[in-house]
Amino acid sequence: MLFNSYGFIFLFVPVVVCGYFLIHSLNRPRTALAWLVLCSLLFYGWWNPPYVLLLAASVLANYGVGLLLNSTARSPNSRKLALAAGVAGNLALLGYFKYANFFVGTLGGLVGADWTLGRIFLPLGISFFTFQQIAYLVDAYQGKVGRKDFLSYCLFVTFFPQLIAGPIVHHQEMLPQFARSGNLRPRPDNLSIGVTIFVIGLFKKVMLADSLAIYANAVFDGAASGTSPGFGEAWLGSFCYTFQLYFDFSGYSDMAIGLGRIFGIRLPLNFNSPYKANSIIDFWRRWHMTLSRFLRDYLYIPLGGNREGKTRRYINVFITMLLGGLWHGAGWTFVLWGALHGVFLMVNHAWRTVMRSLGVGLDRRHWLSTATARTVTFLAVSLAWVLFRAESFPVAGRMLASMAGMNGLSVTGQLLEAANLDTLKAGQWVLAMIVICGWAPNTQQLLARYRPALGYAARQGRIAFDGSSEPRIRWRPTPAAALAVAIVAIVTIVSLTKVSEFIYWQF
Amino acid sequence: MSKLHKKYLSYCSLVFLLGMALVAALNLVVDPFGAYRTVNIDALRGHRAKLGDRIAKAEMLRRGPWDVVILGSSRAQVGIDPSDSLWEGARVINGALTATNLLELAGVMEYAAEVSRPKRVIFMVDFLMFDENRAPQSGFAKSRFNTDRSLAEYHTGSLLGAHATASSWQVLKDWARSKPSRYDESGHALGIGHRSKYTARYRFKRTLENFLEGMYAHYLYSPTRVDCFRRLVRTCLANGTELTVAISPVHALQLEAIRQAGLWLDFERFKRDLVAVVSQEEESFSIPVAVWDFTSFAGPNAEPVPPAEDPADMNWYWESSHYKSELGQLVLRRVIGDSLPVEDWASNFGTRITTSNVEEHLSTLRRQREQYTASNSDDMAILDGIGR
Repeated sequence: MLFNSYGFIFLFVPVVVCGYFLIHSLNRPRTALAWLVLCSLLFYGWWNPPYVLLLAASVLANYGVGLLLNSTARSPNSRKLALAAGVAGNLALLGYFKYANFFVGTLGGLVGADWTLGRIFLPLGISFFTFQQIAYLVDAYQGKVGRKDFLSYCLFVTFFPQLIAGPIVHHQEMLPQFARSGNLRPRPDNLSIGVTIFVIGLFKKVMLADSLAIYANAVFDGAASGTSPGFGEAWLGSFCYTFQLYFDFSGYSDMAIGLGRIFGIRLPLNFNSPYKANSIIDFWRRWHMTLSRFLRDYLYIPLGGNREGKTRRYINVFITMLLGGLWHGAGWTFVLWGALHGVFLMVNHAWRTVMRSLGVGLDRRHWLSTATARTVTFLAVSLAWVLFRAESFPVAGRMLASMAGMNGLSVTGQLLEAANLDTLKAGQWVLAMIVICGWAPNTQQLLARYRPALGYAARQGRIAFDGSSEPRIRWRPTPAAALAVAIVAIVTIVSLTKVSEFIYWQF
Repeated sequence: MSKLHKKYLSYCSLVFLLGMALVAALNLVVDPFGAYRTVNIDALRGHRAKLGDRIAKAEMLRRGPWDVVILGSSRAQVGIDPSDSLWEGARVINGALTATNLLELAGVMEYAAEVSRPKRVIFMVDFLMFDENRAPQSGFAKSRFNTDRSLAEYHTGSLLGAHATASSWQVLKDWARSKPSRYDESGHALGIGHRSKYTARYRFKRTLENFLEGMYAHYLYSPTRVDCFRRLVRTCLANGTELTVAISPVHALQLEAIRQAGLWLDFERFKRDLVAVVSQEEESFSIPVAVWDFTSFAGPNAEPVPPAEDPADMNWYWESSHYKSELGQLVLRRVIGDSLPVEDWASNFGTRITTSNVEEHLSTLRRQREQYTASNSDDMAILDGIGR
């Protein structure tokens, strides 16, 4: 069931919310949590019922290993063994469903054979719930978890707003919320804030991402069919995808955060205007923030982080990004995309080191240098998205060659025209998106006063420092805002004719 | 604070529900696809521009029972008139779809068999339906033809969706401007819309350009579409429906465009596959199925195209790909077995083909082509300079 489907909006959410509020009104907060778990499993099973068993087995096994790790009576060696088995089990599950065919196919390719394990259906959200549980096990081993009840653990993993595509929640930010039943009591402010954030997210997905997808798909699909796009349309296709991906994923994240808030549960911030980033380092602090946090805490730092010299630090950054790329998809284009970002980050760190050694401060910048830094960052990110979107290297090569002007410098091209799309309109979309992403306030800025997501309040100062001005338009629960949000909801729901999946659901 | 939020929620819900109710009421009353017919406003009849859509066609089929269902592409949609006197009071529906393929049509046939069990199906088949690159149109997924779509989703889309709302708005605009719909209530397209304002020669040139530079340039003959054709035949025969397969007539220049696009061998293979599949299924079900070929380089298909500035219309063709209802009448009379009360050439219009005569028929067409190209240099000039 997709967030942007009639069934979800008009049936599933109202039933879950009414049931939750009703159970709370009977003063049974634990039963209300159980209701959420049940509904979350139903939500997951809607897509492929047998995989609910897989999710349930994963939750049970990880909770069991967590109990072993929390047990102080066990010897360090047996705890270490339990951790190794738990992490290996999770990775094996992820490896089988997500990477088995990729590795077998690659091996077969090396020996000139056409090997495959047959079609393996990727369970939705497996990358997300696997990472969440690995983090839980590692922290349990380090004694940071404490004994948690099974119901709360189940909800931590399966809570439907974040189950399929994140944000990748951390047990330390979720489990305490479930324990404070006062927070979870139905409150009008949570409902109004949650609904508002959900509507903003739905608008981003349906009105922006899906509209941009038409242009991006026309160009990338054309390139996949063997036609080289023109110079102008290659850039337009690439930019359209750059913005499509952002609004698709940040729209999803907003919807997840909004849904969580309706139940009084705050999810962590996942996006913070990434295309306002001044550098690649800054970009990764703003894009898919919960994944960056996981990779930092559970991969980069265990690899040694920046504690073992500069060379090792660069290697660690590169490995982290390489595996981050592979996490996104079982394909060499994703690996290369991750590697490219690894190189970008290495160059960025080296640049900072050089600047610091020259005594050039990077904190206070002239507006021109800020604009240049943002533009360079945006272009680097957009170029890398070509690899992320392309189905294969030849397709990516075709796109990049056209963008480099190797197929002429024509503004128009045959791909958009063949799809009956107007090049000028595509350009207008891109310009509008540049303005929105570059200058408009984001969801959390609009709702800053109401602490819309975990981790936002602490960042407010930094956002302002980074150059994005405090927004003049702030959401408040006024009749005018109610009218605006209702109209946005009507327009968006009327436009929900073509239900399209979220890009990150495939990861 | 809590009061403010409560007020906000009340306003928000009220405006939202009111807005959604208005949208639903508009789509229910205007009913652009004829899906509900709960409020019949006579003034809007004849202005429903979307009656050719897949959503509308599925609704028409659902409102059976139908004695005869015409299936096919835009050629049949434009050319075959269900109100023809030939039907003698039978309930006939034009279920043909624009820009369709066999993947869709096999589904349409299954849906028709389920909801209306027609006694007879006339399937006006054409070469484009076998193109691998011709994907199902988005309207198909939104319609009742899409059996994966739940009824709740279907009705929510029909009452609240953008497509339905924009279509309702279009109906109201057309009504205000007294602009008639291009489709009648039986799904028949009355002409080719705004394109009819151009001269016939210009329409020919533009159509041939579109085919040679677009559809034929990327054409890929698909065995999976042949399987869909088999599915369609089987559905008919398994439900006891009498089936007639007729290859839609196209102008000789359209055939020449197929040849110039390098697709002639595929075109001949398409005809061989049709008769082969029909023959196998006939044998399997022991029910006869007639296959007619109305493509040729002679008779009405070789109708001369008026000179460039001549505004005169043609008798049989709108442009190279779409024939007029007058030619559709001849097609129907031929396949239904009626006599053709016209000139000599009409008696040769349409050939019944089988596995035993298809090769001979194809040779005849090759010879006809040579004669046509040699004696119609003026019309052949329309193809000059296109697609190269």
